[in-house]
Amino acid sequence: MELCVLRVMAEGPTYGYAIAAELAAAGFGDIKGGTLYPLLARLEKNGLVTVEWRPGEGGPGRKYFTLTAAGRDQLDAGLAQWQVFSATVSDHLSPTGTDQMASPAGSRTYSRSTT
Amino acid sequence: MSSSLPSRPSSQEVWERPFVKTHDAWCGDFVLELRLRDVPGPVIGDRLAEVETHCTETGEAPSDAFGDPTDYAARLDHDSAPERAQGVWTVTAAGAAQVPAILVGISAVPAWARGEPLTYNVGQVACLGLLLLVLLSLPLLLRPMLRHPWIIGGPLFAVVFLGVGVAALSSRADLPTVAQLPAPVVAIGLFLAVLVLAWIEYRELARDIEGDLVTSPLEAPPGQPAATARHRRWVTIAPACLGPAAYLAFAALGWLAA
Repeated sequence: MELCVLRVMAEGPTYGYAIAAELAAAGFGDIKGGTLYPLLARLEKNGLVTVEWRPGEGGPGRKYFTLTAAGRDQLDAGLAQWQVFSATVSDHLSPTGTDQMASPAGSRTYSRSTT
Repeated sequence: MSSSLPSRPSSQEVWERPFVKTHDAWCGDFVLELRLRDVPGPVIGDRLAEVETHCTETGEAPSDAFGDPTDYAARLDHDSAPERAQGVWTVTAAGAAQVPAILVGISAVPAWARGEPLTYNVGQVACLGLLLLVLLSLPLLLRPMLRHPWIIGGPLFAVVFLGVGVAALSSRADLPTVAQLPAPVVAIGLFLAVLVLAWIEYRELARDIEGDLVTSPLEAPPGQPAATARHRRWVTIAPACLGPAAYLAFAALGWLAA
């Protein structure tokens, strides 16, 4: 989740509700404030974002979060790690090699260990 | 917190905000939990403003968006400010120490008025010991008492009230005297002690109170001013004056009744 939030912030300064809305639009479902804001507080505490309150347009105000250089480095490193992880898992799960030859026409069977 | 607090459009005590008034119970529990975790006032105001802006945008209630206020405050993982926690304990200790000083001091006044020494029998000393035990256990009881004032505070109040009643009955019983003290010295000496403790309390409350108010970084609604200096002065003066004022009032009643 932290990586996804950092990715949203890479587009520019943004605020909590906009982050939740963008993640929801991306298919992450309804992100509750109780989940999002502790994460944002941790990013702030670790110096990955800076914060600024701006007067609201029709509202009381908004707290904007901006990625710092450290936050951008964290995002880049996280994306690289995720891509390696994702490729490894995809390779492992893809139906190729002896497994495919052993199973007839897409009817692969998976055994689950009981231990 | 590692980052400094941001520039603020305006500053207003959170209790004046309509959102906080509407969701009084949730916001009160949230602020109390963060206070108990020694989070500085402006940081608490900042976190509460996050809740307000999020709920304003989503139309949700704080309990729906953030869940239980105590659990949510625990998840925020703030750095505490130990020097503020020490200040809270200084005020609590000074306030607690005033209680036995007032009880013993005002009991000396009627004896002084009658020209007699202040005497304590076994029963009264036992009740005074019970009271001191309750006061010494305050460091353990304070946190649960603030969280559950009726569940913890009620029985505690009952124990103290019972102790005072037993002490009053003991004074009429024919029990052996274990202490005999000069009443004027006790009455005046303990009043001075109460004054000193009140001064310590006032000094601690006045120190940096403006910097520790729970203020919101959000714009104040039209027509709602920021907290006034007058209000802030009363916050420091009123609790400190309470002990000496109570002492004088009960002492005067004791003198007149003697």
